[in-house]
Amino acid sequence: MPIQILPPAPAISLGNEGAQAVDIDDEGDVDMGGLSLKTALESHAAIVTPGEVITDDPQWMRGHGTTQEEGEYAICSTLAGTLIKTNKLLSVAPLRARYRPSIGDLLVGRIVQVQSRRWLVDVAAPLLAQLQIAAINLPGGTLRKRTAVDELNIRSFFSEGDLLVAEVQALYQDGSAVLHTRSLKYGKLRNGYFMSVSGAGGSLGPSGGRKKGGVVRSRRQMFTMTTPGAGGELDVILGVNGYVWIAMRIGDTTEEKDVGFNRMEEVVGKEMYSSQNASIPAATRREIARVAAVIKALVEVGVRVDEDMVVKAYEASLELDMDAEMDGYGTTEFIGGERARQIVEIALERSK
Amino acid sequence: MIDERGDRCPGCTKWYWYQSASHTFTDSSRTQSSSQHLHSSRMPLDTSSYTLSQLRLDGRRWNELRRIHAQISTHAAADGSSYLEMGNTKVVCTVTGPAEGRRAGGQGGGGDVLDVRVEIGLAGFSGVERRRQVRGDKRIFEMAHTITESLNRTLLTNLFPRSTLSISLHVLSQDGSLLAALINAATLACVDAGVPMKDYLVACTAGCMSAGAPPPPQVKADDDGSNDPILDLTALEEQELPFLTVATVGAEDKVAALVIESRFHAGRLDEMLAVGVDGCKRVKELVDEVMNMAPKSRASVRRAQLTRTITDAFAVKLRDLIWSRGATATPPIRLALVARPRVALHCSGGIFRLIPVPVGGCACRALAVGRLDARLKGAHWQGFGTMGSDGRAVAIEGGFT
Amino acid sequence: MPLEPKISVNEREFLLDALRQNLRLSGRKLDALRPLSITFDPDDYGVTEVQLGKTRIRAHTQTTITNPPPSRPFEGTLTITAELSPLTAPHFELARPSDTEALLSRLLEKSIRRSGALPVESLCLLAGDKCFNLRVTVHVLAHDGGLPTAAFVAVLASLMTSRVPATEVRGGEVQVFTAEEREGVRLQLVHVPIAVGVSVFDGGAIGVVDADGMEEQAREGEVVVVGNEVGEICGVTKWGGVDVGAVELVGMVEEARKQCEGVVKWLKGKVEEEEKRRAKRDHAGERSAENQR
Repeated sequence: MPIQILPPAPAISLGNEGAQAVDIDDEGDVDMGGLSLKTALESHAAIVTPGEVITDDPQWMRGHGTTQEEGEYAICSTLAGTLIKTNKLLSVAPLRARYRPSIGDLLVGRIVQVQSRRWLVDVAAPLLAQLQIAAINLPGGTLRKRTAVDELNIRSFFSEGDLLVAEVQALYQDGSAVLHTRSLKYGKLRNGYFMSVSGAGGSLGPSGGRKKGGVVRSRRQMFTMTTPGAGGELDVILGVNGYVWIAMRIGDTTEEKDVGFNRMEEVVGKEMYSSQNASIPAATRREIARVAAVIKALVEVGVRVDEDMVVKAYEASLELDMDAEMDGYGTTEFIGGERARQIVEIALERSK
Repeated sequence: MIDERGDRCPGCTKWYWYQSASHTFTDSSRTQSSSQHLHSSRMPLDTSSYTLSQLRLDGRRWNELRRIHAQISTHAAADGSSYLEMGNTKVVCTVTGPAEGRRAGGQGGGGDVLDVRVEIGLAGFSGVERRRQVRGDKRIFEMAHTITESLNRTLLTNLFPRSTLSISLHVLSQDGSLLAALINAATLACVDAGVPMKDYLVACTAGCMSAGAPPPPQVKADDDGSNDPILDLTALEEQELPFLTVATVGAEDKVAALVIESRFHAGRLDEMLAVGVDGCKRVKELVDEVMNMAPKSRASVRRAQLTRTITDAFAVKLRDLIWSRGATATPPIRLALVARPRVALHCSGGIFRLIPVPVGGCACRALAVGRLDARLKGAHWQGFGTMGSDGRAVAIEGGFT
Repeated sequence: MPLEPKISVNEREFLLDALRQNLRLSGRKLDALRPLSITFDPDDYGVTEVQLGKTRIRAHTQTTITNPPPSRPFEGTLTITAELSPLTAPHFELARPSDTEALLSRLLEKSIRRSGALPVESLCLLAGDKCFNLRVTVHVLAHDGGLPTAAFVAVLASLMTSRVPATEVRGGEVQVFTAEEREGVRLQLVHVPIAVGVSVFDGGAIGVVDADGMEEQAREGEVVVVGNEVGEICGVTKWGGVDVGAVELVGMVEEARKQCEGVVKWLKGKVEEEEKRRAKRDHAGERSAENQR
């Protein structure tokens, strides 16, 4: 047998947090089969990186985040992220990336430009989103056609810097989104607090195991939270793009009474596009700040942000405050550092 | 446990830099087969017996990179960010975008692809002399241009029409290979920002010891290696020696950018380029490692390095031991990390487990227990390995039972 | 601001198709330079105009006496600046230097200065006090590709034919003679660096020497090689673009460097001719003056 000393194997197991790919039998002997694997697809590596060959098996199709040279079977990753297999489609969800819109997403956005018949809205995507004047609820009832007067008064609906909540109605070829606010749930935002966290990122499947926290797509992204004491109720909107809006809840007319078409005019006309903030009591402001701090804590620890987690973490923060009060330390307004971690841990435990 | 600046060689007072012992293996395998390397006394693992004349000013050998340390996601405000050190050259990169171009309408271009913009800021304290950055410095402009043009072909720019990617690079400390460090940092930040790319764009520098204009050297048997090309130059070396900066796409020989600003004989180019491209391959491995380890703490990375160092050293010693037993053939030895900090030495048919045991101080002992291949008549070998604080010097005591 | 005219997709495809069959639209070979010609200003030293195909470049060397920078008391200064103005093409602006201009200036400066073609120590008059300041301005009169080659030829020719005033140092005082009093001194160049560009097409598969304007627009990358007459490389620049295999790249550099040698030889011949012509004319002038008297 010729002399042959192999160089040390690269530290494959480092990426796998220990001995995922290596079996250790009773004697402590090691099966090295796991180390000779050829491609990322077979080894179930935690993440793939740009240029890495995912597979060279012709049975797979390439999806987002991958490339395939013409006339070759090998599929390479173009991103650092987790590998997602959907039947025979291979795609890579990036660990971190800008939000890429997809139809039906609920977004919080900010008007950056007013044009003659549309607004351009910043939604933290690679391109600004569009909101056509025809895609909003015009005052005077939903069933009205837009008129030249509306176009002249375009700034009276939304002007630069206004925040709004909207839904992605369509996508252009270049990936930019077309929004609409044709629902009473959507429209201008007032009386609240805006914050930006990281969004859904690579718009692919469920968030991978290693992906950092952020707002994820879920059934309910607009919800109401009740706060103890004088805080009243809060509206929380978690935009899929990572923009979050926390506001005081007022004017429940729309929800409690069943609005008929004949009454719509009144409702939409009166307050839909007002920019006047109501006066918000100190107790409510405090609770808004608490919710914001709780969301920030979730993001910092890298936990998904959805209704369940926000509510549970909020409750946990209240309980911690109560405990502290009973112990005689007094309440603390600070939610950060060790305390933030504690809150998230409690919330995580409860959501299991 | 490992000193930030590098390690002190046990045999002499020189500091030497390392990546990890496994890279030392790949270094030498470039010129000679690894088995030869392990036998030859010319390039042993510890540098104590290495003649000083073959070492560079900072104690590196000709084909060694400086220590590369990099992190990603360092800045919360940016879409992607990185921090990169190549030796004492330190660079921060932040990436914003892809986002709609701020100067809409202007700049012509049509904008059917991603517009990559690169800005470089030199900190006043980054060089030897404190100096304010001059506006419109052509050298800086050229570097930014090189990075832009290289990334234009590496990133999949057609996926982001009408968008802009702003890359801003900040130089905190300059000690040679600046352009290479900037390119590597920009690549890492782009990966962090989730911008799709064909492969990593990686860069490093290579130089040449014999400056002037002698004709290309004849390969002589008694070549002492003093005419070797060298890899990854420091500022001092850049001042004195001709060098080139080369950027490749991925680990293949695909040169994306090449910048030479010094004069040397044309016959030197291919060897310098070969060393540079080879360096890029290793930089790619290291950058890839950074991505794979991103969520991990620095401590665990260090521990992994330490463990690997032990395994490498053990492999060499173990081979010597097997040979000293009069074996006529050596079974292939394969090393692997099992579960940190345990290490397995795979010796076809026989398994060794190495268990690094932290001992007082910084020293680390490793216990090796195992049995050898049947061809060595079932010899059972047991011993201790001792490792210095540098994670390199290993002595193994023990014998076959 | 007028935009740079772009070539059409058809032209691009046609050009590429032709290149794949080793043909260029101009009928040149892939490794052939366009014809170079040079004219020297008959009345002034150091003013040259170079024509490379349709590209025309004028270079002008001016000499002044200044104080040397405090960090380098024993050296004179040499600055080279390129200018692309609207007279080159409408899309170049005077107020805003274009990328092309900045890169050309940088290429000239780094390759000529850093390769030590002109020893700046020779420009020193009084250490730490007085030195010559040479300023070479490069004006691109017409741009049809191959700017580096034409610019290098123009600058080097200008430097080779220019004169610095004769001086005498007496006890810490410098006396400068006008051209009438005493003939100027030729600059001593150590070597002559010349740039030749190789344009890369078809994903790095085809290398074309000295691309013209249309080829420059269609190319996917460029390698500019600066070489001199003694087989040295004074600089290689590939600012990104399509990636080229390392082996092919070395081949391209070697090819371009050989072209550089040829150009230097040609340039030296031309300068020699010019100097002879000048010498003859000056002597003729002297004789005629004698005769008049």
